[in-house]
Amino acid sequence: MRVLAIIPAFNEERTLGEVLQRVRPQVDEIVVIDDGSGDGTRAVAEESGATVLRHVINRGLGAALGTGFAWAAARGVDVAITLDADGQHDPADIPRFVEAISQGADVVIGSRLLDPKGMPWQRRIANHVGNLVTFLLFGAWVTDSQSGFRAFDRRALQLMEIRTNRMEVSSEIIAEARRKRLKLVEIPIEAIYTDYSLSKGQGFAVGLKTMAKLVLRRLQRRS
Amino acid sequence: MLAIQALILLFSLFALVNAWRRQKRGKISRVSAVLWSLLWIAVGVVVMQPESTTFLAHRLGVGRGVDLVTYLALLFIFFLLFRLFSRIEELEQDITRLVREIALQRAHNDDETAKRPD
Ligand SMILES: Nc1nc2c(ncn2[C@@H]2O[C@H](COP(=O)(O)OP(=O)(O)O)[C@@H](O)[C@H]2O)c(=O)[nH]1
Ligand SMILES: [Mg+2]
Repeated sequence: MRVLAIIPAFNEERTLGEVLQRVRPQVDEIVVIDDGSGDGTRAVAEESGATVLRHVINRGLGAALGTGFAWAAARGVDVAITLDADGQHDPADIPRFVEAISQGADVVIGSRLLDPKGMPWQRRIANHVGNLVTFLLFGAWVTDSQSGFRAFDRRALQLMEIRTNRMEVSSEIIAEARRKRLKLVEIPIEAIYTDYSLSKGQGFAVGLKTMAKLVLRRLQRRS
Repeated sequence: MLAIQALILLFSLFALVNAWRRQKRGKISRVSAVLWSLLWIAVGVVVMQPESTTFLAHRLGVGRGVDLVTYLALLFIFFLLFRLFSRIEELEQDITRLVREIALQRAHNDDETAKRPD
């Protein structure tokens, strides 16, 4: 099976290099989406030999993932793995995602909440809210709707339509998986919370905005 | 007739005509043109016969006609605001499609350049 890692990165020059180094042995190809970064993100990615797709302006996490999915479809890979560039996800977990796909899953979500130790309580609450909103709006329930560590098979890559641009995308992916009747499986992962990732991570205001965007997405005409 | 009445009446007349002009140019559908016309006609009627709202207000349990008009106007503005937000969201999605296309196109071009022996 040909495995592609999709890594969205926005101003992550400090952590991206190490992440790429550790992802490399686990996959066949890597694509980094440099989402209009103003730092050396692109140079770091190119140095490591990864394919770099550059958004000329910052369009957000959802937009970057969408570009990654388009690339995955064009490359015709069997599995696409998404993971964060800030070092929060352990690339050593990748084989377990691929394993879940080969056992028949279309979408695999790495859940921090199947075993939530080491997760700051604010994050835990934010997550529960995210799960609830995802369920109320889209009728899809998972234990970690906001996880950025995921895997998709060919079928999922073909069927899913990602439209949202920013953090709403995590819930949208879950909603799309349900709407397209894809087989979704959750596997436990441990998220690594460093001071760096926490300082850069998303706050309360983003949470509210994300919710509003999800409501809009829900109301949008289905085409 | 008060000056303010004349002004609003003129404005709604203009807006009504404008709705149908836009319909002719294919900018809005026939249904929207009819809905807009109804709205502007209602505005005209209310401006000329403000008492006409009292009847409706009483039936709906609102004390005064003016209050009813205010509530409706507020609702209408909320509706417009929502439409504006939706439209912006659509624009954002369009921009992303462009940005994505450029990113993929460039990767493709780089690939071609790399393959060409020179
Ligand atoms: N493409 C893109 N990625 C982003 C943007 N903001 C954050 N990210 C990436 O999304 C991932 C998770 O973001 P982060 O801020 O750590 O969110 P959190 O871990 O959920 O608090 C990281 O890999 C970031 O580089 C953005 O505007 N565009
Ligand atoms: Mg993070």
